[in-house]
Amino acid sequence: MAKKLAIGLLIVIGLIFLPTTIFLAFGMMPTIVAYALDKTVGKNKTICVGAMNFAGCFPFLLQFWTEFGQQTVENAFRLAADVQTIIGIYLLAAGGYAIDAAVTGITASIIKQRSELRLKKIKKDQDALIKRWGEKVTGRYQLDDYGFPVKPITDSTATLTDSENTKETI
Amino acid sequence: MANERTPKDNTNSLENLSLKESNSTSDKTIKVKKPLSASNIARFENKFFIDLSHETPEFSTKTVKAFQTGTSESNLEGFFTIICNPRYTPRTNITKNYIEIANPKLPKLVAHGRAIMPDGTACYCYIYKEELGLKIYNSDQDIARGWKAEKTLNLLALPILKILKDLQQRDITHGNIRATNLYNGGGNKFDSLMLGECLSTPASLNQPAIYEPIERAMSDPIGRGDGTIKDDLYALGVLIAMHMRNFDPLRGKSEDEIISAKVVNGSYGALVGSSDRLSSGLTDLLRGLLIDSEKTRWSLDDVFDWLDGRRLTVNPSVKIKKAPRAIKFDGISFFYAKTLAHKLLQKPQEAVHIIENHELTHWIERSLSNNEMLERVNLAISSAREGGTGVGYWDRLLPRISIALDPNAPIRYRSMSLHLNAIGNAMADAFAQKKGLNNFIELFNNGIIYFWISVCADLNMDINFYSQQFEKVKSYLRQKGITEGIERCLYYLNPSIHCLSPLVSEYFVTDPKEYLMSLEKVAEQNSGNWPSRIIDKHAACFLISRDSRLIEPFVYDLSSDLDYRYVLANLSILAGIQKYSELPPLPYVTDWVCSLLDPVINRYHDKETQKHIRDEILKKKATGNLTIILKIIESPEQIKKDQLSYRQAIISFREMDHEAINLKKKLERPKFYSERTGREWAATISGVISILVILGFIMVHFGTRGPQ
Repeated sequence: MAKKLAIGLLIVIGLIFLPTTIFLAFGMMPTIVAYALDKTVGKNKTICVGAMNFAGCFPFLLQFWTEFGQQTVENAFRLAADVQTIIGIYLLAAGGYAIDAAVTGITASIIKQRSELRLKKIKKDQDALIKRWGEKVTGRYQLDDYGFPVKPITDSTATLTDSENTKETI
Repeated sequence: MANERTPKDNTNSLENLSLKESNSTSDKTIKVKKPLSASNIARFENKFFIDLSHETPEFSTKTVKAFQTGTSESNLEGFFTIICNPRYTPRTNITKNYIEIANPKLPKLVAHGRAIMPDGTACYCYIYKEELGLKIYNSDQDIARGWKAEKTLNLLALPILKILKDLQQRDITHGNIRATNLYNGGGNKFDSLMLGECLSTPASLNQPAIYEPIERAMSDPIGRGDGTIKDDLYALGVLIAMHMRNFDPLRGKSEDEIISAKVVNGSYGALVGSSDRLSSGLTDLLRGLLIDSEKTRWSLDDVFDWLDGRRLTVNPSVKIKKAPRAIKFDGISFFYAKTLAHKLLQKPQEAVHIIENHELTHWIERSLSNNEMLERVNLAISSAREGGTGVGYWDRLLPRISIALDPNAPIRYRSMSLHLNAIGNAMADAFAQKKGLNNFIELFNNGIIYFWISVCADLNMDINFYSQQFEKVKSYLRQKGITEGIERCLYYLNPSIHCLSPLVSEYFVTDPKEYLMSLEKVAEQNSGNWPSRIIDKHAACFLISRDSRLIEPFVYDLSSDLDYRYVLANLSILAGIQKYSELPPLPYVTDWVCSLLDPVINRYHDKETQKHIRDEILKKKATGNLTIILKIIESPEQIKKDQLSYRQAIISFREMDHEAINLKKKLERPKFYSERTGREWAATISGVISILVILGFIMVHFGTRGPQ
């Protein structure tokens, strides 16, 4: 309901400021395209592109509002049809795409490195646990009535990994 | 167990050492009166030296041998040693009471216990001071001295009666009163009469049938049981009769014929003979002592009352009813149910034949006219048939019929014939021979004893005691634990038997304290090469029978297949014995037990705790105190702490496991997992840049239009 109300309010505002709306409709085209293609949760790519796209539109919008004379639909079309304006806007929008691609790549690399380090630390910690508590600390041991390990459960060594993989496959 | 060495091996080595010593000693004492080969000397704690090359036949019997003994190797005189027969349990349970008796007419026991033979084996022995003199009789047959009453009383009856009085005060029976066990005490014949030893074999084992009342004579020698003082009095009565009679009516007769004669004529009639005229004066005493029924036989008090001048009535033996018509069995005509019962099991096929064709019941009904016996026989047949008439029917039927015909007689089963309180001794014999144990198992499981109890004619007998005792025996046989089985029955029914565990059997231990002390010796001799198991089935059954409190809480763990439980149970039991017996430090046993503790220490999860415990044990084991070791290894607080920490460690390990799995998955597809984070960062960076751009434009735009 709130969403519908917001859309309704946006349309009303759009109609009230129709020239600005027309200019932004042309200027923010890369964001609209990004939104249409963005399947990620939270639409982060759209936000990334949109922010840069809007930063590109903003100087022309400012000019449109303050220096371009009357804010008419005609003027709005004229401004939007200006090649220099559109190129400037779209270049910044492309910058948004570039930031998205670059940061995602860098982050992946960082995450990989951090994971590898963490894995090494886990291995070290687990080795220390095994050294102190014995192989039975892995939990793959059958216990007696008093909770003391009796013998290894032979087929359980792969249970954790297997079960996780199975979940993923499913 | 591969490294296990028997005590025999070790004693061998010890013996070799001691033999070298003895050789050197013999070199020095070259002028010894009787130079002896050291290889023929057995040793008793280096206090007594037993000359095995000089048997003393006057003290030997058909079951044990006696040897000349001294206190040094150069002086092998002054004592004699009875080397016990491994088949027969010496009467260790009454030995302590015997030592307390200060009667000069009994041989003085100076030591008893384990003697080491020259070949390294060990034997149980009794060492007596050699003051018995010579044996008065070499045979128990053909004794008819025609003595006058006064002479018999003074020379024979009174000395033995005084001995019996001392024995009775200490609740001991002699069980060896016979002519061949009378000694002259170094004097002239009967002037210093002495009675021979009675401890080295079960009571009455060496007694010829003539000295035993009918029912005891009918049983196997090993199956007679300890008997009562009245049985000793009976034997004394036989001795008196032998010395007073003018001829032997039983001359040349076999044991079975003697028993038959006693059944037919009564003991007095059989021993004295109807035509003999005994010197008057002791006839009442003789009749009183030779009454066949134990209930009415004179007691020791009766005898002393009679000696004090009180005239007692002699209840003549109840005449056993003779059937007017005999029953033919195995070609012999039987007129008495008692003698038939005695022979019945010797020919089982024929016995079953006369039972199944009702010949036996008709004989009882028509010839003996004994309805009670008939009822018993019918009950015997019906109860034997409860288990079917297939395999084992004869074994159920014949013993029952035998009991039904003569409830006072010993229980007969297959080739065995024994009284209830002798089962323990008979089982010990079977264990020693390693044969015949199944007979006992079947005897209990076939309900023969219950049948005997149900038809028991002796109302004075403590039926409840026997019922409870054999109920327990049956339950021991039913269960399969380490403290159950035929071994438990042996130790339960035979309080004198030593522990037959292979580790300590040659130490002849009779109580838990001795058991632990002998383990110390075993540990010392096997130092560093100890067997992996200490308490085995025999030891467990022995310990629980001698002191159940020590072992009962640990029975379950002793039977466990898990090493740590078994070892811990061993340690707890041995520590308990050491503590409650107030034994000195036992460094070798402690060392032995500590060498087995690995499974118990490994039970702790924390390797640091394990190391700490190992260090502590290493420090404390020299104290020889098993309780300290037990406390180190079995601290409840330490166990609890270890368990809690261990569980926490398992949780941490598992959490790390999960985390590692997730990380590995991320590493397999880094882009997939980093996209969202990357895009979030990208959006943030992009947002920040755009804001900066916008702010920049605003500043530029409005900055250029500022005040000019």
